[in-house]
Amino acid sequence: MNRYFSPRLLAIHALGAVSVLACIALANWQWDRAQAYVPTINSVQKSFEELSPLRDYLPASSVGIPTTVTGTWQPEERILMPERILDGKSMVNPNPETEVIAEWVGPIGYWVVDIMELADASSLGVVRGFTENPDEIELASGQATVTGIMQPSEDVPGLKLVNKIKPLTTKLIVANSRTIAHDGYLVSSENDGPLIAVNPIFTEPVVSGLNWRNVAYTFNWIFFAVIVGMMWIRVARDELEFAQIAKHDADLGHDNES
Amino acid sequence: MNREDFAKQWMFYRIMAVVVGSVLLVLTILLISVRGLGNPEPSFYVAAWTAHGYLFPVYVVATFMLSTKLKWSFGKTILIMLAGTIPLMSFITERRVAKEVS
Repeated sequence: MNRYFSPRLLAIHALGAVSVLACIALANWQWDRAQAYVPTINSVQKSFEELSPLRDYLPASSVGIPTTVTGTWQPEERILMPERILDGKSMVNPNPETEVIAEWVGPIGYWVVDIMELADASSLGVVRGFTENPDEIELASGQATVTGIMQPSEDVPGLKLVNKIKPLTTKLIVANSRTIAHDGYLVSSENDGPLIAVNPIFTEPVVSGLNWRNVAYTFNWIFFAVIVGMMWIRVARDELEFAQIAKHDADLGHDNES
Repeated sequence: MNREDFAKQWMFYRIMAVVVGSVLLVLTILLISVRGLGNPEPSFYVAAWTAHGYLFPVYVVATFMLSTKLKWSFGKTILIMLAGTIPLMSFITERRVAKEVS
């Protein structure tokens, strides 16, 4: 058989090609994620399935978009977010590099977050509203349909709250959910009994550049692709050399016999 | 084999094995602290993991360069590279390789 097409060499090429392609695919995936914060201005109501892919970050283009969800409340999983006000935008620190203490006019209380289990058994954190007396708010139960605005996890790069407010993060929602949870949360747009609907932090898709963490991971995978490519060339070259030496030895042996 | 070249590559591998091993050890302790014990993430947490993401490929390069000099098999090379992903393992492999080299 031609030494360039031995089964071993073909296997090396197949493994090399698959490995390099896998690294490039992973770099591409990270690059897509890095651009998760590029804005797409479009605040027309969309279906929840369109807005929030399960097992992935909430795309920036989904932030601030109105949607409607139907599901079943999980009464045991309430989260209370203290030291908050009705207007989410007034809680945002304009200078995320420093701690800012803001003086608010108006009531300070809690955002009541209940977990809704959707038809696909995934969980979604829903900010049902604002109250100063959370003990008076009955636990949500049964099936419900909520219209609201999607928000990112409050630990996204570039977002910091004033007054050291505890952020409402996806981690917190995951920790309080029985099933796999969506990234971010929904802010209900309607008053719910004594709960007053809050004004969400984001009312339009997020405008801020790239997510540098994912950019770093992108180059990381490109770096890996180059290394894997180098190894592929080296291993293939060694294999060819061995084949050449083996052929040479075999030829010498044949000559000696004759 | 050029002795000086080999000495440089050997030193490169040793430094990277110790650096990657040490960083991974610190990151593992942090991971247990954050995920296991529920402590807050230190400010350098994400940056440290990203740094490890870049240091590891350099360790892979160092291992690969040494493997070509020492004519290691493909399997052995891969195993020694993977040692950089297991806490403490890169220290152990570095000691074993040192014995082989000596």
